[in-house]
Amino acid sequence: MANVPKLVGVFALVLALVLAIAAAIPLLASPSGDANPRPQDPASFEPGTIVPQELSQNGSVSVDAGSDRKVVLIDRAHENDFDREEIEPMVDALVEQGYEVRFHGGSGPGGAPSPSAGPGSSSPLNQSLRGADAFVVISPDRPFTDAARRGVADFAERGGRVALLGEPTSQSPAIVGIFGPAPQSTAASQMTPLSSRFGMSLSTGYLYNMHENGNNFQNVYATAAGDGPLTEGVDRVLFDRATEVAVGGDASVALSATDRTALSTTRQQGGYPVAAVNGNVALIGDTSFLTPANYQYADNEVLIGNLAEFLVTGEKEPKPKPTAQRPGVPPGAGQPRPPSAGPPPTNGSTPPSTATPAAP
Amino acid sequence: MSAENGAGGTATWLYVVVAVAAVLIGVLLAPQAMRLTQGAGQDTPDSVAVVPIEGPITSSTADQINANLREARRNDSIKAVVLDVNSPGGTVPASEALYLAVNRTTAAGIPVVASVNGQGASGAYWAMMPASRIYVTPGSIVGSVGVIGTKPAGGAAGSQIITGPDKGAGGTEAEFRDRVEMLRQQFVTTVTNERGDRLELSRQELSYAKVYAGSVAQRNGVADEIGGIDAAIQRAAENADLEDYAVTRMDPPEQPGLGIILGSQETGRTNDSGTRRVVVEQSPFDYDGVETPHYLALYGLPERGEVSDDG
Repeated sequence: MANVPKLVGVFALVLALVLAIAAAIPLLASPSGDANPRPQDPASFEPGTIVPQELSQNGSVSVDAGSDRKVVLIDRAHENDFDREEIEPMVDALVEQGYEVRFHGGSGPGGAPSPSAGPGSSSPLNQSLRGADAFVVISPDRPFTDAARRGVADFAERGGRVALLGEPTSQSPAIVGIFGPAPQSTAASQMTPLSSRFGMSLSTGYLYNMHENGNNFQNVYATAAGDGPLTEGVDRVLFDRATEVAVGGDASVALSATDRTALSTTRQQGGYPVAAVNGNVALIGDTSFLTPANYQYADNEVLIGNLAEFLVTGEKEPKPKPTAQRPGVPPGAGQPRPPSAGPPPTNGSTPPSTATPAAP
Repeated sequence: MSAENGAGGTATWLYVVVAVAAVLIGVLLAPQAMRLTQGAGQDTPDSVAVVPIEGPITSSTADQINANLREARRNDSIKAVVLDVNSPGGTVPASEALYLAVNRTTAAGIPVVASVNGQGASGAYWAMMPASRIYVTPGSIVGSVGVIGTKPAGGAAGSQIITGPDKGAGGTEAEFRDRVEMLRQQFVTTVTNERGDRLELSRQELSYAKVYAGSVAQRNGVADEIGGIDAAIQRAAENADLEDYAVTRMDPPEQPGLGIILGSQETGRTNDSGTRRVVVEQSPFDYDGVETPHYLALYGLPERGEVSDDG
């Protein structure tokens, strides 16, 4: 017969051994890595979910107009906020068609004003306009003198074509440079005092669209509104940071921003006009579509071609004799003429401030 | 002889039977034995870990917070995590990394609750998205779902020679814009996916990148509950089925000092309300005279490499 104490001893020993092993497992198995690691693939990290659609760029600017010799004058004398390379697509298209492109006052990189620019009727701008068939003003930061405004109105009245292009003046919050916001003009636009003679003006805020845009809320689409010289063949164009064009008088809307576009200053959604035409004068609330980087988006190149054609298809009449009565301003012009208008030419570089309507 | 053999065989069998019985009984009792030693190797009983997310989120602070979260996942005594958030956000990569770390923590089965104490904006809001509940106080600030891109001017200057047109800026203006748009979509998609039906804002409304006061955020689903850190801890404990628990506060991320500056925070009293200026990021590859692009998930506008925000 087996020794009972021995049997008990074996039982106790084995049991103790098993329990000791069990008790030691939690102590030995101290965690050395992530508990329960699982592969992570959040849907928001999937490229297919988040990579934006690339905007296609194609097309070229074509100008389909007569072969008359025409001169297009581009203003550089009013601290115009653009570089020559930014309007290259339009200039190249004009030159390729045999038209002449001149710059007025482009002596400095910023379009330094001519020192002899004065409020007189013989201001350099008016002299330059005499030899031109079309006049382009882009983002002027320096006010036009009263004489220059009258000169431009007279120019348009006689059949010269005028294109006015501006940008919003409020600071962009979208993209900032490494050393702060990209340098932008903080001065109020000087476009409205000029364009309001033709029943059109620019807003100060920028347009944005949170629903349908060119991969940034400030890249808004605009569609053609009605038949006009600017909109032939244009389905929709893409404007990078455009502004609203207010339209009154005889002016008519050429391009309107798409639905649900809002204006930064009011945050109200609406069908904001971004381009308008009044007879021989066109006003567009954007300049970015002219740039080499943007001119191929959507139908931008068609719009540039239409703008170029608009410029070179005017029929300007010769200027009447200096003694003749100066033609009146077109209907809708609301600019009061100061009593001191038309003083003799001076050498002062700036007109009296009282003669300069304040921009909004 | 055979009788002895028979007696010896029976004895051996008896020993075997006794040993097997001992093993079986031992296996039955093993769970109790394991439970006895379960917490012996650890300092504390079940606990809720409070992980601070403070100051600007940079690669350095994100690493430290990630280490805290990793510790929470490793340590079996930590049953739940509360994110104690007071941050205006930071860089996009660091915020993404933090989001993934919090996401991994919830994926490991550890309940995570966020408590915003001050501000939990932009990248900080991004990071707390996987939390099951977001607690805010009425005056705290949350939201700012958007991205800021800054880029160098690009091109070669002076005597520099670059090997390709995009070597300086890294790409065209359009590509830069598309990249920022992609980051916006990623951020907005993260928020809409994680918040789900609780969020009452559309993607477009989110994309305005507004910040919301706590009481407004609780209404529109940007946050869940009004309450402080203690309420958040209690909720986290409930989510982990803890009745008796300790609270372990982990170290807040240290803002590196001079030398390898990755972010700093200073407070200056320039007026009654006070203005905080946050140096956002000088990446390890930034040094004098070299500009690099930055993508910031940050509440506030950079101004000369700094961010000013009221608060």
